[in-house]
Amino acid sequence: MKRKILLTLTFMLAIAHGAWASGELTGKFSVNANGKQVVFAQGNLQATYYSSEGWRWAIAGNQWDYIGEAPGNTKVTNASPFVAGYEGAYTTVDLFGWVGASSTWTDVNRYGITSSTENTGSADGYGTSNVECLKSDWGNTIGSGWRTLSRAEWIYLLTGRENADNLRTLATVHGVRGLLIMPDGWTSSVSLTITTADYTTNTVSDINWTTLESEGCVFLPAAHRRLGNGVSTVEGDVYGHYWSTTPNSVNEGQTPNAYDISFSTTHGIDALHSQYRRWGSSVRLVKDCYTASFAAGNDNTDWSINPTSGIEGTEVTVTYSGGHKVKSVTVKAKPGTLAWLKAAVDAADATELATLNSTYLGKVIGADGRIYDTATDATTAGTTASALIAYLGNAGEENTSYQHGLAIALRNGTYCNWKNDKTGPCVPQISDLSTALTYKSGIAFTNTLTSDGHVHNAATAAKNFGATYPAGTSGWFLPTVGQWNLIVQGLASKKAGSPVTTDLDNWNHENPAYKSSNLDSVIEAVGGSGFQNGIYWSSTEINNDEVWGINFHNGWAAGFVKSTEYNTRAVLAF
Amino acid sequence: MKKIILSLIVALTTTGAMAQITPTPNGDKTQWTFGMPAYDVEITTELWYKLDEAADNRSLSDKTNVFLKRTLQAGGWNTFCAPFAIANPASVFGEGVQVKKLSTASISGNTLTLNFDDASGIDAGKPYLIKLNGEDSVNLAADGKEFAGVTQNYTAVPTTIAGVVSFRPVLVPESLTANDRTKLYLGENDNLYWPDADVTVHAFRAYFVVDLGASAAPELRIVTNFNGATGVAEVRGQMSDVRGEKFLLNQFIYIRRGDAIYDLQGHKVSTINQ
Repeated sequence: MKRKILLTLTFMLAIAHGAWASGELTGKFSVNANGKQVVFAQGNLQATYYSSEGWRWAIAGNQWDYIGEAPGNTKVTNASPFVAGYEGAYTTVDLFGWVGASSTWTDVNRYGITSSTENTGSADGYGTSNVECLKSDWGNTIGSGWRTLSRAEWIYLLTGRENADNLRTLATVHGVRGLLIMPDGWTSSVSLTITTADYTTNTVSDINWTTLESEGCVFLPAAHRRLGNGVSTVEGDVYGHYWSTTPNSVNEGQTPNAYDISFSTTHGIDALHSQYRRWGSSVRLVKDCYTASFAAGNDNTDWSINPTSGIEGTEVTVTYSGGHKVKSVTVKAKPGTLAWLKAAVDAADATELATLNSTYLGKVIGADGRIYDTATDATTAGTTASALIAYLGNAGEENTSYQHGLAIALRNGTYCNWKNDKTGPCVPQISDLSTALTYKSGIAFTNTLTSDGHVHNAATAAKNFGATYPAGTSGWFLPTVGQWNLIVQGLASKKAGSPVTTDLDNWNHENPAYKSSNLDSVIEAVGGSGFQNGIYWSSTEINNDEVWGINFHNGWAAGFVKSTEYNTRAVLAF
Repeated sequence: MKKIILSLIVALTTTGAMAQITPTPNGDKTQWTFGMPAYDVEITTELWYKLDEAADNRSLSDKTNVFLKRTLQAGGWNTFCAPFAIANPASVFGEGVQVKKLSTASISGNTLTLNFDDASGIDAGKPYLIKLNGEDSVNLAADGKEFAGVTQNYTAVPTTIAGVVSFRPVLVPESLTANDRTKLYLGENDNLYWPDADVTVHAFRAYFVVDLGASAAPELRIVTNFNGATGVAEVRGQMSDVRGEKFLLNQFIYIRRGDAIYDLQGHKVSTINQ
C-alpha cells in the first residue's frame, strides 16, 4: 500500500559545508527505545590499497556512491596485501565480509577484505562461533567514534521508532537505486511515496535531493554483494545489503552467518535478514549521539538546552531566559555512565571507593559508555556488552589516561601460545612473583609485544579481541600478572560481598577464592563466560622460556612455557 | 551507475580521555556553551535569585543564593532591612559605611528624640539606617553584590520603644494610607515624611510609627541623635504635607501653614503658589 506523504513544513537550506568535513550527516535516528540516537556517515565505507602506506580507509564522498563490479571489488585476493598488481583507486573496496572474533585473521582480511569464499565456519576464516561478535568493527578501525549498528538497532531504526513505516522507502537518487531513510520527526516540502515495490516511483531530482539531504535523510545505495572478487549485480533484482555487528545465533551447528539489512523490490525492506559472512556487503557507519539533560532536582525554570543530543564535539548551548542572575552552570558526566564512574573514582576517599566497589564490581560496561547490570540489559538497550568491571581504583594501570579501573572481556579470546618460540627478552623479565605483581603496565607490554616484529600470539589475540568497547577506555590488551591479581581480587570480592585483598600466590599454594569454581558465577551471572578451570596468559615475562600465567583450577600464578597454547582473556583499562 | 569517489580520508584517531567539562559563559552569563563529550552529560544550574524591592519575595524564601534589587543612595541616610543577616556590612556597602540601629527614643512636649547606636552587623528582619561613605550609590543588584548561603526569614522584627515609636522593617512591600500621620518615612534630604497620598513602601526599607496619635504628628519636632553623647551627627526631620515640601537637614526647621511657610520663630519665609 502506497501512502502519500504530504510535506508541508519548512524548506531548509543546504547544510553548511563544515558539517561535511567530518563526514557525518545531520539527521538523527533513534536506534533503541531508550532514545539513543545516531548520525550516519555521509557515504559507504571504502578501503583503498597504497603500496607506500598500506590500506587507507575512507568514507565515500556522496551518499549514492558505490563501487559495484568495478575495480577494486574485483581485484581482491586471498593473501596479503589482498590485492594484486594494482595501486590506488583501482584497488578500492566497498564490499566487506563479516569476520567473527574467533577468526585468526590479523591482516586487513580481518575486516573482510579478502577473496576467500571457503573459510566460513573456520578459525582461519570468518570465525567458528555463531554467538561471537564482529572481530573488528570497521568503525573502531577508523576511530573518531565511528561504529556499525547492531541488528537490534537496525530493526528499531527501520521498524520500531515512531512513525518508522513512513520514514523509509525505496528510491532512486542521482540515478542510483537504493533505500531512503528519513530522520526522526522528519517533515519536508518534498513529496515522497512510501513504497517497497520499485525504485522508480521516487525518482528524486537533484534539487529535491539537496533538500532531503539537508533535512538529514540517509540514502543507502543498492550496492550489490561480493563473493570472492566477483560482484553480483543481477540477482533477479537490485539488492542492497548492509552489515550489522550481530552474528546469527539461530542456526546452531550450521555455518555461522551474520545479520544484515537487505532491500530489493522482490523482498522489500528486510531488517531481519541474515546471510553468509563471506558475502561482501556494504558498510555504512554511524556515530553515537550523546545527550545533555538537566540533573535530577535541578530547577529548570526558564532554562533550555540546545541541542539535547549530538555527536562528540557538537556545540551545546545552555540558555537562561528568566529574571534572576546566573551564578554557575556545571556540566558533568551523567550518573550511570563510565565517564561518571571514572570521575567518582577520582573524587572518592577510601570509604567512598569501597562503596563504589561494592556497587559496581561485576557490572557490565556497554559499548555505549553506559553501565548495565547484565549483558542482556545492554543488549536490550540496543548496545553491545563490552566488559565486566573487575577493579576500581587508581592503581590498575600505569598508563595515566586509564587509571580508574579494569574490566575483563565477557568471554575468552583466541586459545594460543604466548610466542611461537622460546626466545626473549620481549618485555621486562620478572622471575619473582611479588615483584611481578607490582607491574601494572599491560597496555605498554601489549603494545610492545605486538609491534616488535616477532609473533606474539597471546598479546595479538588480546589486542585484536574485537568486541566493541566504549570511548574513554584503553582498547583491549593482555593484562600483566599484577593486573590479573587485582582482577581476581575484584571478582572474589564481588563473590564474597566483602573486600578480598590477598595477593595471588605462587604455584602449589592454592587459593580457593581465586579458583574458577568460585569466580565463574560472577561472570556468568551477567551473561559472560567463566574461566572454566583454564590457564590464562599474562603479558609479564619470567625469562626467555616462561611467562606468568593464572591457573584457575588451583587459583594460583605460575610460569608457563611460551610456546604452549593456553587461554587469553582481553582486558580494558578505563 | 558506479562511481568511485574518495573524498574523506578518516584519521586513525581515538577518543581522548575524559575531561572535566567547563562551559563558557557569554557576557551576562545567560548563555553557556560546551562541546558534547563522548558520553551523556547532565547539567546543574545555579541562580542568584532576585529579591525585588517591588515584589513579595516570600515564594523565594527557600533560596540561599540571592541578590537584592535595591539601590542605596549616597549623601544621606537610607533605611534598610533584609530577610537575612549580613555579618559584614562593609563588604556589601563599602568601607566606612555607617550602620545604625534605633536604641532609645523619648518624647518631650512635641519634640520626639530618636537615639541611634552603631550596629556591627545586620540581623534578619530588623530595621537599620545606613549611610554610605563616599559619593557613589550602591546598587545591590550589581555583580559582586550577591549574598551566598543565606537563610531567609520574612518575620519582621521591629524595634519598638513602648509608647513612643516603633521602627518597623518592610520585608514585603507595604501600603501606607494617605494622611496617616503616624507613619513617617525617610525621604529626600533625610527628611521624614508622612504619606500625603496612598503610597507603597518598597521592601528592604523601614519606617517609623509614632505612638502619639495622628493629630499630634504634624506638629511634632523630631531630633535624631546618633551615638548618643558622642553626637556624631544630628538629623532633624519634619513631616511634609500633601505637596511634600522639603526641609533641609542640619539647618532650620520650617513649618507650613496654609499657603505659606514659616520658620520656628513665626516669620513667614515664603508663599506657596497654588
